[in-house]
Amino acid sequence: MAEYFCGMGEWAVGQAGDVLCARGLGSCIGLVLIDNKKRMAAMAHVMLPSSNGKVDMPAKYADTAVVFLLEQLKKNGSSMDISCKMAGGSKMFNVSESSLLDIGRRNAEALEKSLKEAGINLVAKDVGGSFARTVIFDVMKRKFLVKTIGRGEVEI
Amino acid sequence: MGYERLEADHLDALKELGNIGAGNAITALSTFLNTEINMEVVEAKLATFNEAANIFGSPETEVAGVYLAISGDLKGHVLYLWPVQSAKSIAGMLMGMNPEELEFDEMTMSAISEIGNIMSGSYITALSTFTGMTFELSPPAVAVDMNGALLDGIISLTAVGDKVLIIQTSMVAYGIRIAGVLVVLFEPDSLLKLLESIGMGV
Repeated sequence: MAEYFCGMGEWAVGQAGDVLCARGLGSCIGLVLIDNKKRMAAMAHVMLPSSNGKVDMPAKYADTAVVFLLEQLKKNGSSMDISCKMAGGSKMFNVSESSLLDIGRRNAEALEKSLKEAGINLVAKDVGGSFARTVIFDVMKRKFLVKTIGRGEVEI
Repeated sequence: MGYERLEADHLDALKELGNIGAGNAITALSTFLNTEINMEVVEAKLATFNEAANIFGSPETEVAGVYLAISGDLKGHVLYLWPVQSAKSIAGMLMGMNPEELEFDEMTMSAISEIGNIMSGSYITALSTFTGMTFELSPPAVAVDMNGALLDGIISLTAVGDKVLIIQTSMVAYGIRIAGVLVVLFEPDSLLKLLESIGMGV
């Protein structure tokens, strides 16, 4: 029974009784792969759309995070009947001439592509906008909570 | 480049650049607000992502931030962050209003944005004079939200491996108890050019 905080580029696998979270997401995305049969899940705090071939931090990039989390679930005895939820990918600053411009949107698109390629069903998402999110996944209850400042919290 | 090639000398040089920029910025703000502001700490350090996102204790701490993109000879990012109470104090000072009564409405955001703009502009002007390079700054953009969220896009773009090089200035205006942190991050190739410009090529 533990609470796992996934910092930027980090990941965790949890069992019944565990809670997985990623705090203060802006353009980053909190991705959770949920075992539909067993009480097990894996979370990644994804930062960038593309790894460009780098293998040092697989949870950091949208194009490597999904496959990597699937491997971790398999190692932990998952049923491999998996669905996905994700939140984040916002644009915190209204700028028109920076590389920051659409990194959040590109993160979300790249993750959706990876999920599709891996045949994983994305059952819920809360992405975009211009506000921060914290995501919390309770593995036992299979409850994915998205918290904000001033916009309350929603379960998706 | 890999950040592992940066040595203590390089970090010292970047810290000195930070000193020059921040000194100029603080003078500009002191003049603008007609109050004494002091630099507390200037640091140039290789931080992990999470150290960088925890400047104010937690990635969830609510802060006000003014962001400007640096372009021209170098690509980088300037972010001036205040805890929300400090942001209200400084905006109240500029607007001649009681900070307790301020909301983060359009007028307050605009005041905060202007202060960030003045400081970042002065910082970059000093850097430009010192290095002989030409920089352009985007218009300021302002947001009030979780600290981690205001920083994560910038950290993503400036990271190498699991590290980010951050030039950070903490400052306090004692009379009205304002604490702020000015953060400058250069994209990796630009950092190399910056070091070359001051004779510290990696």
